Amino acid sequence: MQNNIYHDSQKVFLDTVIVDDYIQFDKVSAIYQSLLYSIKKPLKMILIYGKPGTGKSMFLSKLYKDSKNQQKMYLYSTPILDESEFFKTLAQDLLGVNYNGELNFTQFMRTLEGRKINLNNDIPLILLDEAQLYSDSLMEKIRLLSDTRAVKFIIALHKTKEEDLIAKEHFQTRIWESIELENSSVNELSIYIQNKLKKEKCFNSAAMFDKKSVKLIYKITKGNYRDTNKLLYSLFDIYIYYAQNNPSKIAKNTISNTIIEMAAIHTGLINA
Amino acid sequence: MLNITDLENRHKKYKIKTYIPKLIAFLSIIILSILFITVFKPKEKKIIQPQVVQLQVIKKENIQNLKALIPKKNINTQQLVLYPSFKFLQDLKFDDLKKEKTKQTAKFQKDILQNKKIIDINKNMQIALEKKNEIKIKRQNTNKDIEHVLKRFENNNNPALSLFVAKKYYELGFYDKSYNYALITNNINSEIDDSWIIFTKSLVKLNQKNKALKILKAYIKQSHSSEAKILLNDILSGKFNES
Repeated sequence: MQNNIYHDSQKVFLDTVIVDDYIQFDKVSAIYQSLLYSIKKPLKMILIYGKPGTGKSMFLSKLYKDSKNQQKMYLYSTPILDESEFFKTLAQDLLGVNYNGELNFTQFMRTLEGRKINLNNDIPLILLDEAQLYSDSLMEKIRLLSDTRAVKFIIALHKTKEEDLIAKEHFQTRIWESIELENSSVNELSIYIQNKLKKEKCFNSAAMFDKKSVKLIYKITKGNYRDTNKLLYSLFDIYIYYAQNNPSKIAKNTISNTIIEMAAIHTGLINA
Repeated sequence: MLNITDLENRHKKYKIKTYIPKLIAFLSIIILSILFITVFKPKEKKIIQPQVVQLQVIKKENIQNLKALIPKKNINTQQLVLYPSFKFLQDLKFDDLKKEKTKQTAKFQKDILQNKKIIDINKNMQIALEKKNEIKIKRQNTNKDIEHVLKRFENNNNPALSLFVAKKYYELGFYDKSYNYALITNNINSEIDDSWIIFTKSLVKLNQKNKALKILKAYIKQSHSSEAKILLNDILSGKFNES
């Protein structure tokens, strides 16, 4: 019985992008509303950036889910690194044209210009996740594409020194809006853990996370959602093991700090 | 795949690693505290300690130990701080001494004070400490005083000085000498009442009571001295006699 609770709780923290699990904090909600307002403006590009695990992918997915019925919108959650494939996918989504052979940038632009009039009233929005993986050459072409005003881009990328450079070089003059996503605070992390567990009806597990344990988790993960998911997945893995082999080692009322640290060591968040 | 045993061991090592800086910090604080105490505290003690010790000594010392304190005073300059308290004790003792003196030689004390003799406190302390030799010491001092006064008397022939010597000898029981110096005084100045009194008193003590009465009556007739009359009555009534 106890073991099942831990199993269910563990599944909650699988690191997957499920839009229905999206938990909007006040801070993020304000940013989201601002983005909804921005995409209605005639902007060429919107940049969403932040450290890995701050919820950029989830943010794009949420936007896509909420707005796809109101606006022509396409989400490329996995980068299409091959140029021909990228323009072929774009031609298919924007123009409804299937190309069997190669499609280069010049050919795509010609096709796009021919159909410009049709696109004027409802400019499609392309959501590019993990944009830092695109090559400089392709990014340059995306920039030129945005200049035609035939298509708008929302680009999500990691915030590192190198990626900041990419942002500056390729998009600086064209980005009209940029949004930074940050790690959560202790309170937000507590709400995040509680809501995730309660959504899956893991009420007993949710009650085990007191202030002290959340503080320790925050100290280890620095409020990063992806790291928190990793840590808690590993934590429940250890709980499952102890429930089966050594039940005396797990206190039933609260999450053990020792097990949090063990999970952190296991996931590499603590260098032991 | 979880390897719990390995994970538990790694966690133990991690905990030890996390405690080491705390332990080092804790030990550093203790070491620094000890160093601070050992380096800075004694300096303060060096200043305070002598005073405290001295005060304790003063409180604890009794009269018997005063003798031991006196030479220390000369050796250690810091102990000079004790001097006021020491003097206080000396003063106390001096009072006791005065009481004893009053009992034994009241008049002698009076004379000493009259002549404004400053008694050396340290010498009196020695007197207090050597109770057994008290009288001897007094005599030595008195003899010295008498010698000193006699020298002065030889120089200026002052009847006050010869009268002083007569009284001293009388008090000490040397009645023949007191008779002589009373007579010397009387020869210089026959109007000094005390010289007649000491003269007649000395005569009585030298078993010359009748001669003393005859001289005293003659003096009373001439001077009408009330003191001489009292002495005459005392001799006649037997209050004052040879013994």
